[in-house]
Amino acid sequence: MIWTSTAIHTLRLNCKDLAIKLALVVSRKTDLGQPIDGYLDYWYLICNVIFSLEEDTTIFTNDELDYLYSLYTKILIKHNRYKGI
Amino acid sequence: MALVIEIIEQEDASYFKLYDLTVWGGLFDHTLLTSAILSVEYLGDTYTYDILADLTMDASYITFAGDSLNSYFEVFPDKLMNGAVPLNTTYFPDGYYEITLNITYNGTADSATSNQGFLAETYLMASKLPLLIDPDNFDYEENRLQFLTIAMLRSATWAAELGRETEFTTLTSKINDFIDACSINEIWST
Repeated sequence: MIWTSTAIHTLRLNCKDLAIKLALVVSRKTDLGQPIDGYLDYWYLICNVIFSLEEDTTIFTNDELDYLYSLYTKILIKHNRYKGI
Repeated sequence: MALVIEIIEQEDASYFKLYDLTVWGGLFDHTLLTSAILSVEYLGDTYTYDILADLTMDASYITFAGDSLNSYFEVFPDKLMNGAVPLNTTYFPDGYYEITLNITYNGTADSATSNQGFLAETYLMASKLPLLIDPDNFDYEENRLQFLTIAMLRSATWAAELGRETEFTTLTSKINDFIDACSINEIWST
């Protein structure tokens, strides 16, 4: 799809929302002494997408944004399905 | 025209930068700005600062903050008052801030609010965590705590930005646990 600046802004906000959710999961799991390895890769990936978009909103091509959006969706679904928070 | 502001905390927490991102379209006239009150809510108290007199605007100004889009106005903590009590004397304590600017421009009232997680001191404390970097053989696991803390700090900042004070508090509490576990002392708040 063609990614407008508004759509990219929305993606960035959605990624921030997901990053917060994953951070809370990690926080809670460390409190409980439970392993967090399964969450870290997702969390860091989402953080890096946000870092990149904050640095330069044109850094990704439309195809790359499509791919990142599909990753975002998969992580969100997985997170919701397993009641991460 | 809708008033848009951006806030960026200085790295040493001594002040924050107030940017005017309003799309004035080259039509900003400093003589039409008749009121500008900054209001900051911190720990349940509200501190205000009438910034109009300190803006020192002239005809070259294209926003209330200055003569270029990169211009900003510096807000110091001792200027923000709750009655006779300043928010602080020398630095902004780490925490959640709700910052609102109320203006009257050309007889019309407008306002903009920005939620912020100020974490300058925590960022500096986190930077004192031992960094175990061997450039030729980077060990992700060895640097686990650093990565965790940085990601947690950024996530806390985003939580504040989205107005989620509870999540911000939860995450900053966890960050403090990480840092305390490494016996890193406060830098300026002690």
